[in-house]
Amino acid sequence: MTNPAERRKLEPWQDPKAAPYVRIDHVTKKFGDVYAVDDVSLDIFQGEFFSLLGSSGCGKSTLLRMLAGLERPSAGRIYIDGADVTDIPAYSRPVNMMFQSYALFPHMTVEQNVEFGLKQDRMPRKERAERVGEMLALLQISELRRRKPDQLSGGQRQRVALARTLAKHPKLLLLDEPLGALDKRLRESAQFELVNLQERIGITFVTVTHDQEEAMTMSTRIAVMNAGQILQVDTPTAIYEYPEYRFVADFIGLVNLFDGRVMETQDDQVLIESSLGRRLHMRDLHPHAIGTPVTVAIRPEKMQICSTYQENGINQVKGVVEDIAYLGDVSIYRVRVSPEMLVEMTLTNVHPRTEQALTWGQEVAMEWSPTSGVVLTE
Amino acid sequence: MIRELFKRLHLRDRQLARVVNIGTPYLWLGLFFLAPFAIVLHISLAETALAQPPYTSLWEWVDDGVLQVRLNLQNFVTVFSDELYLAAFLNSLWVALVCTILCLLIGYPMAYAIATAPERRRVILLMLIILPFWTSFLIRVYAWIGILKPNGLLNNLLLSLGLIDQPLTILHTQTAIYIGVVYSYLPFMILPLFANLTRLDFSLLEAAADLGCRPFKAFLKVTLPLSLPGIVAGSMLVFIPVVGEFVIPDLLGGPDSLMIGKMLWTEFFSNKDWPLAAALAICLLGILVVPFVMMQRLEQRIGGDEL
Repeated sequence: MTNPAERRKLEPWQDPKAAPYVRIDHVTKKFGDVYAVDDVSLDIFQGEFFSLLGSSGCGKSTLLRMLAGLERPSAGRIYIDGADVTDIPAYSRPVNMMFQSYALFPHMTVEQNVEFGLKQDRMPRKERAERVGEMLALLQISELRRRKPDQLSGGQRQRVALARTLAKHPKLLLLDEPLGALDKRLRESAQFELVNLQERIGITFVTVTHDQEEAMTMSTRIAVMNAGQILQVDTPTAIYEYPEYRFVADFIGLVNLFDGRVMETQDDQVLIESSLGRRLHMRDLHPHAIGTPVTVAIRPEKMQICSTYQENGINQVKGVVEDIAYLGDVSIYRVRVSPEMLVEMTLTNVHPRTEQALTWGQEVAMEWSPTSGVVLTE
Repeated sequence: MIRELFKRLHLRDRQLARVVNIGTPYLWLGLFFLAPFAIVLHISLAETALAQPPYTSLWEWVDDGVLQVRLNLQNFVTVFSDELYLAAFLNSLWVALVCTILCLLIGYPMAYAIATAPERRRVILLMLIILPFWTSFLIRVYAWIGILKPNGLLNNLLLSLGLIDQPLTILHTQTAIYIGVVYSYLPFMILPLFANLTRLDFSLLEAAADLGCRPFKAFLKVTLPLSLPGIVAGSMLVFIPVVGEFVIPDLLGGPDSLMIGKMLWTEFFSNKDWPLAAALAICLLGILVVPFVMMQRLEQRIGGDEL
């Protein structure tokens, strides 16, 4: 168990006295009549690995570009390390960004690319050479120093781009879909490398991604964005286990959503009459009034095969296996419980697939515990 | 169509396609460059004669089946020893150089503006660049006489604005040649530059700014080096034809303008000295090959990196 002081250090957003490193204060960005970012406020703390997550066009990249100084907010202020940087151009900000396309200078070698930012600061030649060597070594690309970007693979380019942004020792590093151009395996190793790097050099990372897996693996906190607004800011665990909006629950991972209406409440327990025609008993952290229309969100892996199925049983549902997605470690079963509803259940493949009992067309009963899901209104 | 033809000829498609592919440009070059070049070279080594055509033959049969070949190098000696020709060559190169630089200075910002304009406006701007080609080149140059002459449009405008008391003498000066050449050749600078700059990845400039580089320096360090192939192509398209330019110096530069194209014309048509004119043409070609090869080299060196 971690003590409260340690916890505050690991999770500075829990500490009411901590000053945010980046403060986005009611920032809006309009392109013509379109609100790309709509009145967003957000605090990011020193040493965080913060992810902005959303589908394309949700405004996450625009928000990142405003932090870099490449776009000017239409309204609102941005503070970095206590200073108002809203009107400071990109070239004077203590911030570096890694571009989605990497934006490596094609006419310069790897070495010259990494050195570019240092030259702008008029760093002495000797110091500059040292720093470049350090960065190339850190990202294990020393042997590529004389190559030009078109002679590099995607993974190597990503390293060069990262070395270039890190070379200036920025206090805040912005990453725009940093791993978007990599294939899945490279991506996974790069994710861990990025996190290790961040922990080692201790700078604040803000990254933009549409890939929820990437956000889950790397982040201290995630902000889920939709239509220019931030819906929820939380740790990966909280975002996954306790989403506050249908959109968030649906965007991250698989989820079963049951519509219903609150019938009874007692303390934090709630009884819901669902559209399945069954009663659901859930724990509700934000108790809702009786009669409120709600949605119950249950993750597929929280579903269990039910051995004591009763007609009209609470938190139970029965159907026919319609579809099986075999993923190796787990299988996802899509179970038809009513003509208009499929329920997804994930089971770990304890036994080889050929020996498994559950197969197409088979009837199966499922159940879940009252604490394995959340009750949502929006 | 051509395929049908191949089949009828009982040749394998691919084989014949290859021959045609490689053969066509060679045939073209041979027919329209090498053959005329050989004829001009041939004339340059002959002597003037009062005949039709007005030069002597290089070879003749003397008795006993002996072929006598007479190569007359006197024309080349004249070209290199007469200061008039030397001055004309130097002046032509100078005019071409000045005009290329002027075109670059005016054309680069224009090409940049077109390349960065919104899609719809870009089409209109490009149209405006190409539009003058719809009028004959000769007519456009003649129009400049009307603008530049002592009681022309420009002088009348400046007089009515009270900026000058007396009409400026622009027509029949070197300045008029500069104006005419820059006006006529500007599109040849803008179009290759535009083609290059539209391919420029503007996120590179954002990356430069992000790394602490101010806009002007980012232009010098990123945009300019990356647009070098466009600069080279545009400069060649302006420099090379301007060195041999005849119409503009003749119409705007007046009778005393020293340009090699005009000299050539005079020797050929007024003095009927075809061999000397041919020798001048050969020398002009020789001079133009030097910058051409140099630029080709440069383009290969930088071109491999980003094209």
